[in-house]
Parts: sequence; C-alpha cells; structure tokens
Amino acid sequence: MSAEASVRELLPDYLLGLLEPHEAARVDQALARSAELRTEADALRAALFALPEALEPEPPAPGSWETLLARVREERARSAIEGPAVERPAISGTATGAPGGAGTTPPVPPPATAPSLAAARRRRPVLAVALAVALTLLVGTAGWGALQQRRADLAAHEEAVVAYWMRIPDLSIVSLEAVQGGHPGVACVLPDGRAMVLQPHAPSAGRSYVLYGLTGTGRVELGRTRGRLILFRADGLTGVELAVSGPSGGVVAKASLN
Amino acid sequence: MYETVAETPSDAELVQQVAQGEEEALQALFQRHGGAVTALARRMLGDRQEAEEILQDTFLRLHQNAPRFDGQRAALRTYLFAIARNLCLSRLRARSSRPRKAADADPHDVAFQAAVGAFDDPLPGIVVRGALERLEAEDRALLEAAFYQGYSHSELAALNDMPLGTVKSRLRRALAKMRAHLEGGAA
Repeated sequence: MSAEASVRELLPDYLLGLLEPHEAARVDQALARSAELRTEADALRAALFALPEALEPEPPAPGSWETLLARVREERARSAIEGPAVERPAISGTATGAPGGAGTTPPVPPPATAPSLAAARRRRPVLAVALAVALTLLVGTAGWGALQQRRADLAAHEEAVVAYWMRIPDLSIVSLEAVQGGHPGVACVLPDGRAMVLQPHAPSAGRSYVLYGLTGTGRVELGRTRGRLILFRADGLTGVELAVSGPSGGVVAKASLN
Repeated sequence: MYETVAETPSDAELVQQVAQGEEEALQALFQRHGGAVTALARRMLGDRQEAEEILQDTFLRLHQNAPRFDGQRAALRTYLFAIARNLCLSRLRARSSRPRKAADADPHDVAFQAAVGAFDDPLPGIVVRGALERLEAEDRALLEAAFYQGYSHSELAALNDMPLGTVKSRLRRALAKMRAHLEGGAA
C-alpha cells in the first residue's frame, strides 16, 4: 500500500478526531502535500458533517440573537480597548489539522459564580444611581486630532456594552472607593463571573487606566484602557484596584468584592 | 436584462458582510443555521441550556473568524457544525460521564416550533436520513456514537463488544457509504 493510500484510509478517523497525535500529524503533512488528498478529505468531511442534517432543527431560545449581538458588540469594544483577542483560531472551509476539521480550540466553560458576588449584589439598590451617573457621563466623548475618531468609536463601543449589561437582571453593582478624590466609578459583576469597571472619565492624554485584581496573596493586572471601561473576570478575586499609568499615577480607586 | 426579484444572499456573501461588520448579515446566518446548530449541540450534550451556550459560542467564533473564512473548500454549514461539535466534545471531555439521551422537548420548544420553518430547508435532512437508513444498523450506530459522543475506537469496541479492527473498518465503511449515498443523491 502506498503512503498516500494508507493516509487515505486514515481520513475518516482523522475527521472524527480519533487518531493519535502522531497519526494526525502524518495526515496533516500528507494533506499539505497532496491536492488530491485534500479534495478527498473535503468530500468525506462534507458527508460526515451532513449527519446533523438528520436532526430536527431546534429554534434558538427567545432573545438568543439579542444575547449574541450583545456579545459581539462587547467583543468589539474589548478589541477596541485591549486589542484583538489572543485566541483567534484559524478558519478555512476545511480547516485541516484539528479533529473534526474545524480548526478551533474549544474554550473552557465559564467557571462557577464567585462566592463573593452575593454580597456585592445586595448593594445594587443603593449604588444604581452611581452607575446611572457614570452612564450619563459616558455618552459625551471628546478628543483631538487623530485621536478624536478613535475615542468616539471607543465610547460608542463602551456605551453599547454598558447598555447591554444594564439589561441583565442579575447584575451586581459595587461602588469603587476613591483613593485620591474625584468620582470613583463603579464595578459591575455578572453571575457567571464576567465583570467590568466603569469610570466617568477617560484618563488624561497619554495615560491609561490599569485594573488590578486582588487575589489574597497578591495582585494581578486584569487589563488597561485609554477609555473608561475595562472588562475582566471576577472569579477568585477579593477585590480590585484601579490605577492610572505614569510616574504620578498610582491607585485612584478600589473596591472589595467580598 | 435585469433582475426584478431580490435574490437571497448566499452564505458566502453573508460571511463576507459579517467580516465587514454587518450585524444584519450575522443575524441572517443565525436565523438560517441556528436551529441546526442548536439541534446538534442538544443531541451531543443532552441539555437545552448548554446547547444554547454552544450556539452562542459557535456564532461568536464565526464572527471572529469571518475575514478568514474560505467558502471555496466547504459549506458554511459544515464549518458551523465542525465548530459546534468541537465545542461540544470539549464539554463532554470535561464531564465525568457521557450524556444521557436528550430530554424530551420542553414547552418552550413547542412554543417556537412554528418558527422552525424559518430556519431550515427540510430537504438536506430528508436526504441525510435516507442515506443513514441505507447503512447497516451497526455501522450507523458506530458512526453516530463516534460523531455525537466522541467515543474513541477502543471505547466503541468495548461498548459494542467488537474487535478494534472491526470498529475501524466499520466506521470507514459507514462514512464511505454515506458519502456515496449523498453524492449519488445529489446527482
């Protein structure tokens, strides 16, 4: 049996993700070399992934599209603030190299809700006003020169994210405590651990907000922005500290998540 | 000569529009394929809520990667199924046990059955069911177990009390027959 023929025999198992890594690598290499083999793999993949066509479609839940749209906008906002996501799996119609041919790295399911959120949630009635103030301030965006459009785009993204979060019933809102005076902003936490810090103003030109998470044994950087919003995960955090970058910066606000 | 009837955009055209940031295009694809992706995830995970999460994650991946999608080599539907399957397999691996049979449809589903027609053309389903019916029962069971539950060769051999080599050869035969039936049916 020729090498190509032996690889051809492996294609069904390859597409099902049933090969050992060294075998899959061998198929990958063969596919990279042979257009004929790729065509064969494409045809088998089309047949294999036709299987779900036999299932009765199940309409998505009500509000599913709206939730997806909000996540899309949230991701755009995050990209605008923090740059593109680190994990951007390759896509091709066939995406060789991954079991099943999707070329994707499945994400880890979100961890359970942080225990500290219940306490934070109780503060919501008192602190909703703080968020409302911050939202009002969020709408206005100023910038100069080349930064003007970018800042406007950033603010629009941030506004979309905040508007979405405000519609979530289980949103917990925690007021940040100002360390150096001024409006301290708020932290918002969702039951699945997603969280954001929202400031009423962007930092001054050339500066960034830097958010740190307090873990009990130290602090870790969670994100930074030249806008007003930083998205992060609150899982396992006892609190957060918001700092301004630069020599005269330092921590400007903090909050306990316990 | 001019076209007087607006044509429905193809998947490839819609993906291009998604890559340009058009939310309406993503919505059109979501409406077109969301029901099928949900069904796949429900079949694999046996849980409506988790299936909904897979649906969301799958289309979020599509949105992220739309600029690099190459529709010349495979249908978008195949790509979406592949993403969803990988996401489901990841969850299955994280579980200590395999899923049970999917729960019966709940009232929530019933309330939205009328919308099913808006999501899917029934023809592909009919063709695939016909192809599956032509497989030997054991071959079909093996193929579906490998596809939906992600069982390995050795697990399939143990579960079905078959030699490992038989499992492998049956899987290959089943997929080859599926392909032949589907390509023949399309001719």
